[in-house]
Amino acid sequence: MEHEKAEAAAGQLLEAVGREAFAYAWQLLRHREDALDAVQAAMVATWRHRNRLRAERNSRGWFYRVLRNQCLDRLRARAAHPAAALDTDLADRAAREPIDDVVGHESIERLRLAFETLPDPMREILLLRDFHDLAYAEIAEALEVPVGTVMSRLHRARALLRERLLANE
Amino acid sequence: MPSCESIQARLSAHLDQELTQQEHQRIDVHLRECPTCRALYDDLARQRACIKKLPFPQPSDQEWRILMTKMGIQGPRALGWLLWIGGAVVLAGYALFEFATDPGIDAVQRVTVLAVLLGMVLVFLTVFGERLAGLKHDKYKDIEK
Repeated sequence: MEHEKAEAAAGQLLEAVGREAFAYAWQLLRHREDALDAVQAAMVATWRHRNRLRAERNSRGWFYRVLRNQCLDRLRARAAHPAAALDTDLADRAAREPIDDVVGHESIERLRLAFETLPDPMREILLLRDFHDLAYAEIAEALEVPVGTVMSRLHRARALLRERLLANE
Repeated sequence: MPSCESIQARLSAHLDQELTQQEHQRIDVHLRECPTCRALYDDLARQRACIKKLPFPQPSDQEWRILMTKMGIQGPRALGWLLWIGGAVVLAGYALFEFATDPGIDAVQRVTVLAVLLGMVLVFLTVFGERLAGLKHDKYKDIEK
């Protein structure tokens, strides 16, 4: 019974976050195949630890922590054996998938350019909060930092992004 | 009335509904009275809404199907590895025992073969020990896979 509950909880979690977590892995790795590989490894690890997962208060945060560690492993391997060409930024995808609203497209394009100039930790935390909708406690779990750090880092990230947007006007 | 500086430091958390009810109320009151902080708050809210629309890549349906297929074979594959390694260890142990105790095999042959095997085990153990020592100094050693 407990085992079935754990399987159901892990299944729901992976269904809810698995596919969209790819954006986070891609943001860290900037390589499509590596990002898919990291997501798969994180999903396998989550499934393997499904019994423990039930005890976690922030199961989404836990999943993102596992995924982040998988990405860090790949970054470390890449540093040791640099070979793969990295995706440059979001522009490729933006070009493939035009946004219908022209006005919206312009402001999103400006935001995209400003977002790309942010330091990695700031992009990462903005992505977790504003794109993946993680709560502060979940982000703290994912990044293994206190909630207060999440709060202050997000504040700084948003302020810097706004500053860069205003500078580009 | 709290200073704009102290309010602005909390605007981001206010936007995310991550403050206590009392703090939220305090900031709401200030925002109603201070156009500067209100403008900043509205900017941050617009900014957050736009990030949601950024064209981050997603896996295609085909990529996702392949990934899910790979997920499905993980369990049987792990079992396969377990059976393969377990069986190989038992078989190797049995063969070694038979070889070491077979009276029909010449002593020189026996010692030579055992020496080769012992050498292989020693090489394996030293490489394994080296890897273990490396892991101890690995700054990522606590990372959960």
